[in-house]
Amino acid sequence: MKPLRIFLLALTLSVGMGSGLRADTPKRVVTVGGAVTEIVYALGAEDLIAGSDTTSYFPPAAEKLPKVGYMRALSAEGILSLRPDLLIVTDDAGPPAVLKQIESVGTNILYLKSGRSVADIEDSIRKLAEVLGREPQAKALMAKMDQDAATLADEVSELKAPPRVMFILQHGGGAPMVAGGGTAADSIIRLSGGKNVVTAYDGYKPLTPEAAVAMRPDAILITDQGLTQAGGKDALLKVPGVAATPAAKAGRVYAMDALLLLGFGPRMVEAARALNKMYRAQ
Amino acid sequence: MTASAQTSASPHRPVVRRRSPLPLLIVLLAVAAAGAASIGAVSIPFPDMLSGNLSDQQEAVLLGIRLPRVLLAVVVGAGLAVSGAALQGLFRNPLADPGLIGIASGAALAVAMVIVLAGPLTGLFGLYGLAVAAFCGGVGTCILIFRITRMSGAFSVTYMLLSGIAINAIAMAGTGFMTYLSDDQQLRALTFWTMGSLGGALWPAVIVVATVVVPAILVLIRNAGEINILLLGEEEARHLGVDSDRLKLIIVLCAAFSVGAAVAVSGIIGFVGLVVPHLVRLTIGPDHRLLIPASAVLGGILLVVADTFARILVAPAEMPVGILTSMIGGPFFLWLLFKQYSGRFGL
Amino acid sequence: MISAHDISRRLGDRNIPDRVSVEIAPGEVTAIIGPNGAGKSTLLKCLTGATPVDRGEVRLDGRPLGEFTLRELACRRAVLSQGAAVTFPFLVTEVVAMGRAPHGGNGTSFADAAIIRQALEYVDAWHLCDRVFPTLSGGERQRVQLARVLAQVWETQGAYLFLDEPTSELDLKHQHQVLQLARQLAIEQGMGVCVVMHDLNLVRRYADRAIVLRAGACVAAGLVADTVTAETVAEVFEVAPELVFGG
Repeated sequence: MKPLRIFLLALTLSVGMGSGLRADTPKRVVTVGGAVTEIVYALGAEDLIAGSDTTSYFPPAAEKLPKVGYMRALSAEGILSLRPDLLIVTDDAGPPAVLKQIESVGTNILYLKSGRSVADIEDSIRKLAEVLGREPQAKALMAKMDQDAATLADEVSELKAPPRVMFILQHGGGAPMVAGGGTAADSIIRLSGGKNVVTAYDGYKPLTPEAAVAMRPDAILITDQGLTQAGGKDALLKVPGVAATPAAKAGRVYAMDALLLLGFGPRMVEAARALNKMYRAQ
Repeated sequence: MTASAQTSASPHRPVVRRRSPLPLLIVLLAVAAAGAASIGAVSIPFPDMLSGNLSDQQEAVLLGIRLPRVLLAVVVGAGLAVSGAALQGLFRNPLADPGLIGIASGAALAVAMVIVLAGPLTGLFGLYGLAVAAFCGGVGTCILIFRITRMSGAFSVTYMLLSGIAINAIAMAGTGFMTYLSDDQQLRALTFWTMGSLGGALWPAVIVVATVVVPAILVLIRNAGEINILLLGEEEARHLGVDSDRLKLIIVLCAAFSVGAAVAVSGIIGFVGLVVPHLVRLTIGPDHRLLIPASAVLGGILLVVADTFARILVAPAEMPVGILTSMIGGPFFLWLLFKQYSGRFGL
Repeated sequence: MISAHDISRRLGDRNIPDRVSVEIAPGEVTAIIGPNGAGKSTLLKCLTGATPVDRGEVRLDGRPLGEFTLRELACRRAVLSQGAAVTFPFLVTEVVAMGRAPHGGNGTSFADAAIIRQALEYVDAWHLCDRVFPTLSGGERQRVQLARVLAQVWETQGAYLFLDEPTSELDLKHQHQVLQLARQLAIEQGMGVCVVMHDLNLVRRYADRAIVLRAGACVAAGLVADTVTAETVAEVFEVAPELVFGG
């Protein structure tokens, strides 16, 4: 094992020294994760982006970037072929061995927390601004976020009672996949002043239609993509389990783009406010 | 037809007349490996590689990423193909495949359990948590099937097949249950693992897998003559002086360890173990003394080529190589079957 | 000499064979006969060591079979079982070459090549040498398997040959050829040949001795003239003797 270690160390060192010329501000970055890419755009640093992953499709211009695959199934060579001097990922990205390969050839990786609070996002914004040299833009962005967050707090307090919301991830025809605690959907429902009807479990689980009825959701929340998959609002409301709920009777189905709703990027407060507005409209 | 026949028995000619395809295959493997080392998202022209006229990035990619990956493809391909060849001999059935002895399903269950239940625990083994789990799960399941078969008294290949089917079903149910428990992210991780990829090839992985697979291949080559005799039937093999119980144990262990190691680093890569020995058998016949080494080399060639396509088809992203091998292997195998049976039985 | 003394093997609630004592002597053809289910094949398996016995002992030249290694036994006796199948496309010569394995040969040496050819010529199958084994007819396969068994004990002093119904799929000509061959091997090479067979006329013609089994037990044993008689046929096979021997 020992000679092997030394060999590998030597390999890493020689490789690392080869690309030792690192400028302070990166010239080319690859962003992995929809929220990361959005922040970089929001900071006005999109010119630096050499490529991103398939979850980065906002703003629309991001869709045209070279794609390095799904964030959990990255390929070392694919990323390196874009010649980035910095790879920016959230801690969801992987597989770990590929990230290690990329580091081993001397490309730096910036790891950001995939958080779900305003503080987490602002922390990511701050870090990115520092690395990319966009501090003034970050300040403006965060000021707007803080202001929006304050408005959101007022709007939430205007609600008489928190509406009972059920998030359906997808409906493949069998039992609906419904969000429990600890999910991004749960977080955005709370943030917008609603109450997730599911408290009994964590994660996404197929829910029996009877349990769905028993939970008496006032509103069904779904992504635009999920709604299309389910065949539209009318089809969704006819599904067993959904049909007998108060939400279906009142026709309350809220749909929003998946990345906006669940992405927890710089638009997270915007998403929560949009959701809150839907609650108050009813 | 009397004793006078003895005098007419000349001129003698060697009985085994089949030409060894090994030299040709080894040349092809070298060409494939060199091509694979030069092709990819980062272009590294072959002449530059030889003259050492490479940029820092090219050198880093070649030494740190591409070379270990090509070598891993060779070793994994060889291990899968040789295990397939040996198991087809053991089961006396050209359609047997390493899946029959539970390695893939056991590994998948262990990986699912680690991903879903032991998220934080994986840090214990660092990068190789999933690999260790997959190896233990695969080999453990295979040994379990072997032990159950032994408990039935006579160690019969039929019992092994049947207990393999039962254990596979249980393992798949377990994996299904883990899938049910998993959250969205765990599910994605699990799905990608089952599609197989050589993307995580680091030097330590290559070296560990080679130290398992290469000795297993050598042991099987050493026992190839006896595997031939086993094809006459277990009782006949014993009459010919072959300890068939010992031989079966050797085959199962070698196959379990090499497929277990392959699955551990690359996930589930289908059809190599089934198609490669079949292909070799069609060209040079069923003699395991040639079949096993030739399968090793051809398995290496096929996986190197498939993995190269996996890297370049959708660059800069990459395709799971397990999808490619199954997508190419499945139809090819059907064509082979149809051709073979229509030739033999006039269908 | 292969001798079994008082051997039994439990098979369900019966003993098959049931306390049988027999001897297979060099230079002789010994036939095992009896109706279906009498335990002929099981007795043969006990004598070759393929099946363990629960009582008694089988010895080869005075040494219990259990003391031999598989390889040592393989060099001394060859066994043609019923229904040995080869599903892979081996060539005929490759199948016969497997008979040389116990002697350390892989079938490629000139000496082995000569033996393989002679063995195939003995069973009138040399013309099949380039054929793929699974494509042969039943009778051709049986002859090639016989050639493999012959190659195993070729030119071995004091060898034994066990044949379980070697003529079951052969036409008349080849039935006689194969049994004539068995006789010839016994006489010329001093082999001890033990054959399970059904046709009592062939037994009378080619065997020296016979062991008559019924329900696992040995009813008669000895020279063919003394054992394969009208009384035996009537008693053991429950057939009128004139139907068998043509009156």
